[in-house]
Amino acid sequence: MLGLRDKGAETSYAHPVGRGTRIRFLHSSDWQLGMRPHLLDEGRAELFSQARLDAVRRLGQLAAERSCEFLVVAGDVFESNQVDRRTVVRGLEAMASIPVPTYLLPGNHDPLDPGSVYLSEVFLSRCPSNVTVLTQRGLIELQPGLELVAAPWPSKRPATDLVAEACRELVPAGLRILVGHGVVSSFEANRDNPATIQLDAMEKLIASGCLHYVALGDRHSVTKVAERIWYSGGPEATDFGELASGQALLVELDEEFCSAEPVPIGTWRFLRKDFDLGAAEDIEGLRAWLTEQPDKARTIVRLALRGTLTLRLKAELDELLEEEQELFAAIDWWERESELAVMSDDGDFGALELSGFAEAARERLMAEAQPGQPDAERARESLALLYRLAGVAR
Amino acid sequence: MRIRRLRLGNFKDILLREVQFPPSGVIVIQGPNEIGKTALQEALDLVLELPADSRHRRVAAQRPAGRDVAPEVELEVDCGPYSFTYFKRFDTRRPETWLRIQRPHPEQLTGREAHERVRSILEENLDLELWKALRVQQGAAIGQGGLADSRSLLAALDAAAGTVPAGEGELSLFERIEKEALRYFTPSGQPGQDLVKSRAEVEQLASQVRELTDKLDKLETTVERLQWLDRHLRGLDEELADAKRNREQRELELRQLEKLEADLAPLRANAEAVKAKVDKARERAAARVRLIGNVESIQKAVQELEQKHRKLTADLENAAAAHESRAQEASSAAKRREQAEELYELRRRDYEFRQDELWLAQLSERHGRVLESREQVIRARELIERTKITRAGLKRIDDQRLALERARAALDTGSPSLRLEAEAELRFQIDGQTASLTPGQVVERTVADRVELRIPDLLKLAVRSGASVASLTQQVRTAETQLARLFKSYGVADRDEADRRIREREEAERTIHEAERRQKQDLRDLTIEEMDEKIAVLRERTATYMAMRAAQPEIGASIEQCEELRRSAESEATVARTEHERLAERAKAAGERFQELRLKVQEASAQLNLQAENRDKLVRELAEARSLTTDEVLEQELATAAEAEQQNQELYVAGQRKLDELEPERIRSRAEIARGTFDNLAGQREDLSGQRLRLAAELEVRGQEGLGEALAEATAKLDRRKRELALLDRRAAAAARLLAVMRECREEARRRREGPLRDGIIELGRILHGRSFSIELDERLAVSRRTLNGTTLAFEQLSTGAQEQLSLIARLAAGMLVAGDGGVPIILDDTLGHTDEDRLEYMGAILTRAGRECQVIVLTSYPKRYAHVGGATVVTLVGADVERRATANGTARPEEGVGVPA
Repeated sequence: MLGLRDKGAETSYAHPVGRGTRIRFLHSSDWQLGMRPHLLDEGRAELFSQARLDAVRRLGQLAAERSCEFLVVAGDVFESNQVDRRTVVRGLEAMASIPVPTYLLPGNHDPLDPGSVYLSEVFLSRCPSNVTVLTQRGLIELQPGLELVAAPWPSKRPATDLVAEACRELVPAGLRILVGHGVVSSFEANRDNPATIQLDAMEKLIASGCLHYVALGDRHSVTKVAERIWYSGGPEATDFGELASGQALLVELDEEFCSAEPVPIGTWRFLRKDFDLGAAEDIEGLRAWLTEQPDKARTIVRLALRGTLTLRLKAELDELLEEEQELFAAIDWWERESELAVMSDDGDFGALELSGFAEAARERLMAEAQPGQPDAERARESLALLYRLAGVAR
Repeated sequence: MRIRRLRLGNFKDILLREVQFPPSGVIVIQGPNEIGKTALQEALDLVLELPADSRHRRVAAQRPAGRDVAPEVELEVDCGPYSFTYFKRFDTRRPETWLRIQRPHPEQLTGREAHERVRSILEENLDLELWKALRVQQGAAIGQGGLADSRSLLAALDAAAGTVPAGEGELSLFERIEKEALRYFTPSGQPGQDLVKSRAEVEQLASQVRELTDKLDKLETTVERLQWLDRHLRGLDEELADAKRNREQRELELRQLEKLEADLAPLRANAEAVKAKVDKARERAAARVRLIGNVESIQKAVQELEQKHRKLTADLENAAAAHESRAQEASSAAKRREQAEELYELRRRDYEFRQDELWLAQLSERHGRVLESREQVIRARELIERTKITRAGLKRIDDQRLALERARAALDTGSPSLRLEAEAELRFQIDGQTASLTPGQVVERTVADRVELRIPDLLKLAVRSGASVASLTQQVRTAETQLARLFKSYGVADRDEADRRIREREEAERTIHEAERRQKQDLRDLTIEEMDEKIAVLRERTATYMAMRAAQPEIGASIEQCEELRRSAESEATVARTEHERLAERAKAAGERFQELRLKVQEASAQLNLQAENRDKLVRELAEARSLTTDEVLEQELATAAEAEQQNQELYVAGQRKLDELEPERIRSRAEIARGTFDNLAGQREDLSGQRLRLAAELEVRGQEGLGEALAEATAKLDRRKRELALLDRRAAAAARLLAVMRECREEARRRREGPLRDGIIELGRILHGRSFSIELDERLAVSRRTLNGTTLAFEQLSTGAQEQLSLIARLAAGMLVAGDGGVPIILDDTLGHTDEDRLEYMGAILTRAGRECQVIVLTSYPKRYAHVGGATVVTLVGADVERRATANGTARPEEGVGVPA
C-alpha cells in the first residue's frame, strides 16, 4: 500500500468508528485518465481529456459539499499503465484538490504489475499526501473499527477471483468496505473466466457481517448488483451504450444501514440515435433533433440512418450533417448500423434540364446505379456529384 | 444569308462597281490581278462590321489615293426572314448609313440605328463563325477552318444526327466535372496531391501505430517477464533456503566422518609399521632359505658337470683313434685312383691319335678330288673360250639359209624351165654334167641364166633366161654370199659343224657346273688353303705322337681297338674315384666328430670351472651369514613379528569396519551435491536478479514514455484519417467515373454528330477520288485522316494539292449542310492553285454540286481553273475601264450587270 505507511497520520481518522456509527464516503471508479476517443479530432480530444480531470475535481467538491470522509476509486484510475507523463502529472494535480483521503485501487487497465503507473517515478514523486494506492491485497485499517478490504489487480490477466482471495479468512470485525474491480458472476457471460467475482460469496460475506459494502469498478454505468454491492460507474462517459455513466455514488453506511445515491458528475454525452429517412420531413426531423440537443460541444453523436433518399434529399442530408458537425464534438454516421440507399429519380435532374451528352451520361449512370449492379454505390455517388455540379450552374 | 447585289463606289482604285449575284449556284468573278476582286470581300466585311464613321485602319486603307472622296458600299442581301438593302459611306466627317428592309416588314433606318439593326439581324440569323470558317482568302495558308466553332453547323449536325444538342450549360458542366476530377487526379489520371498526401499520411500513421504497438508489445513482454522473474525468484528463494539447510546437514555428517577417519589413522599407521617389520623378518628368512637352496643347487650342478666332463673325455679318445684309421684308408684309395686316371689318359690320347690318322687320310683324298675338278673346269673354259658360235648365231645362219632358199625358189619360179622327156634311152650333158634318161623318164630344169644341153654329138642346145631371171639370180648369189660370210664369222665350215660346235660348248658348260659342285662338296666349309694347312698339322701331330709315346703298354692296333681300350680304362678310373670319394668322406666325418668332441670337452671344462667358483662363493656367503645370524635365530624373529601383526590387525579392522558402515563416499558425495545445489541455486538467483535489474531499468525508462496513450492517440488519428481517405477515395472514384462517363458520352455524341458532315465530305470527295475515298474527323471537325485505295494518311502527310482540295471539299460540305437554313455564302478567293489539270475538272464538278444548294462565290485571276464548273455565272472585271471612265465622267455608274453563264 503505497503512501499509507508513510502518511498514515494524514490518512487515518482521528476517531474510532464505534458500532452504530454511520460513515459517508464517495464511491467512484473508471476514471480512465488518458483515454482518447477515436471519433474526436485533436482539439476536441484535448477537451475530452480535460473534462475527465475536471470530473475528478468535481468529485472533490462533492466530497466536501456532502461531508464525505473519504473517496474510494475502484480501479482503472488510468486508461493504461503506459499513459503519458503529462496525464499522470495533471491527474495527480486534480487528485490533490480532493479534500478527503482518496484510495486508488489498481484495476485491469492499470494493474500493479512491474510496469505499473503507480510504481513510476513521476507518480511516486508527485503523489499528493491525500492519495493512497491500495497495493496490498487484504485488510487495511483506516481507523479502529473501519477497514478497507483491497483486491488490487496484480496483472492484466489474473488467474483467480481476486476479491475472494482478498476476503479469505475474514471474520466479522468492525465496519468493512471491500474495494474490488472486475465483472461479477451475474454479469459475466464467460463462465470460464477465472477472475470473475463470485456474487454468492460476496453476499454471504455481507450476510455474515464480514463485509458491509462492496465498492466495485469496471462497469461504466451505475449499477446495483445486490444489496450493498454497487458499481459506481465512471464520472465521465467513455462510449456509446453507457446508460448511466457520468456519476458517482454517495454512500452512507453502518452495520444496519446502507444507501448509495448516484450523483451526476460528468458533462460529456455519447448519444446513439436511429432515424428512418425517406422524405424531406424526415430530414427536417433529424435537423430538429440535432438542434434541440444541449451542450453540443460535449456531445458525441452516432447516427444510424435507414431508408431511401433521392439525390436532392441526400444532398440536403449531407449539407445538414456538415453544418452540425461543426457544432457537435463529433457526429458519426455509423455505417454498420446504417442502411441508407440513395436513388436518383427523374425529379432530381428534371429541373436541371440536362441535354446532349450530359443527359446521356446521366442516363448511363442511372442504369449503373440500379440495385444489384456491381458498382451501383459508386454510380450513385457519381450521380450525386453530377447533381451537385449541375446544380451549381442553375 | 444570300448576297443579291454588291455595289462599291470610290473604293480604293474602284470608282464604281456593281455585281449582282444569283441566289444560288456558283458565281465566278474573274479578272486580272489588282483589279479589285479581294476588295469585294473587304467591302462586304466593312459594311457589315464597322460603322460609317469608323476611323479603323481597315477603312482608311480603302480610301482612293489622291482623291478627297469617301468609300461607299451598298449591299443587298437575304438573311433569314429578312431582305434588305444596306448602304454606308465611310466618311469621318459626313458619314452616311441607311437601311431599307423589304421583308418581312418594310423598314427604313439611318445612321447608328441602321447599323445596330443590321448587327442585330446578323447576330440573330448569321453564323458569323461559319461565315469566317467557310471563306478561303487569297494568300491564306491552306487550313481547314474552325468548323467546330460554328453554332449553326453544330446545330445542323445535331439535327441531322437526331440528337438533342448539348448547350452551353452542358459544356460548362463538363468543364466543372473536369475541374472536380482534377481535385483528385492529375491531368494524366494519376492520383492527385490530396490523395497522395492523404494516403501517405495514412501509411505514415499506420506505420507509427505499428511501431508503437511493437514497442508496447515489447513493454508488455518486459512486464510479463518481470512478473515471471518475480515469481521465479520467490520460488528460488525458497529453494535456496532448503538447499542451505540441506548443505549444513550434509556438512555436519561429513565432519563426523572425518573425525572417525582421524581416529583410525594411528591404528592404520601402527599396522603398517608392524607389517613392515613382519615383512622384513619374512624377507630375511626367505633370503636365508634361498641361499641354502642355491648352495645345494650349485653343488648338484657341479657334480653333474664333472660327470659329463669325464664321459666326453672318453669319447674324445675313441674318436681320435677312429679318425686316424679312416685317414689311412682314404690315402690308399687316393693312390689307386691316381693310377687308374693316368691309364685312362693314355688310352684316350691313343684313341685321338688313331682318329687323327683317319682324318688325315680322308682329307688327303678330298684334296685330290678338288684338284682334279679344278683341272676339268679350266679345260672346259678354254673350249668355251674358243667356240664363237652360239645358239643365236645358229639362228642367224638358219635365217640366212632360209632367205637363200626363198631366193632360189623365186628364181625357179621366174626362170624358164626345160623339160626333157625321153622317148628313148638318152644320154646327154647339161651344163657340162652328164645325165641319162630312160624312155618315159622326164627331167626338168630351170633356166636361171643359161642352160646348156648337149647331146653329145647330136645336139647342143643353149637356153638363156631373160632380164628378170638375171635379177633373181643376183639375189640368190647375194644370199649365198651372206651365208658364206656368216659361216666364216662363226668359224665353221657349214651348218653341221656349227651345230656340232654348239653341242660341244654346252657339254663344256655342264662339265664346269658338275666340277664346281663336286669341289664344293669336297671342300665343305674349308677353303683349299685351309685344307692344306689342316693336312699339314695332322701329319705333324701323328708323327710327333708316336715318337713321344712310351712303348708300354702298347697302343691298340686300330681305332676301334683303341676305343675299346679307352672305354675300359675310363670305367676303371670311375670305380677308383668313387671308392676314394667314399673313404675320404668317412675320414672327414671321423675328423669332424673328433673336433666336435674336443670342443665339448673344452666347454664342459669351462662350465665346470665357473660353477665350481660360484659354488665356492655361495658356500662362503652362507657360512658368513650363519656366522652372523643362525638359522634358528631368524626363524624366531619371524614368529615374533607375525604374532605382533596379528594383534594390531584385529584392532585396525574393527575400526575400519565401523568407518565403512558409515559409507564415507556417500557422505562425501551428498555433501558435495548439497554444496553444488546450493551454489547452483545461488548462481541462478544472482543471474535472475541481474536480469530483473536490467528489465526493471528498461521498464523504468520505457514505462514512462506514455506509449499506451500515444498509441491510443495515433490509433484514433489513423482511424480518422482512414475514414477521411475512404471518403476521399469514394469521392475521387465518383468524380473519375462521372468524368469517364461524360467523356464517353460526349465522344459518342461527337461521333454521331460528325456523321452527316463526314458523309457530305465523303460524297463530294468521291467525285474527285472515286469509291475508295474516305475520311475521319477530329474533335474540331477537321479532317484528321484520309483513306484512299486502302491507304490511310494523316492530313498533314498529304500533298499540298490534296490538302487544298480536301479543305475546299470540307467547306463546301459544311456549307451544304447549313444551306437549308439560309446558310452562308462560301467565298473562295483564288483557290485551287495547287490542283493539277485533271483534278480541276473534278473539282469543277464538286463546285457545281455544291452550287446547287448554296451560294458559292469564286474570285479568281485564273478563270481556266473554273472552266469545268457547270452552270456557273461568270463576271469579268475590267478595272482600267472603270478608272478611265470614272476619270472621264467624274461620276460613278454601274459598270457591269448580272453575269452571264459560262
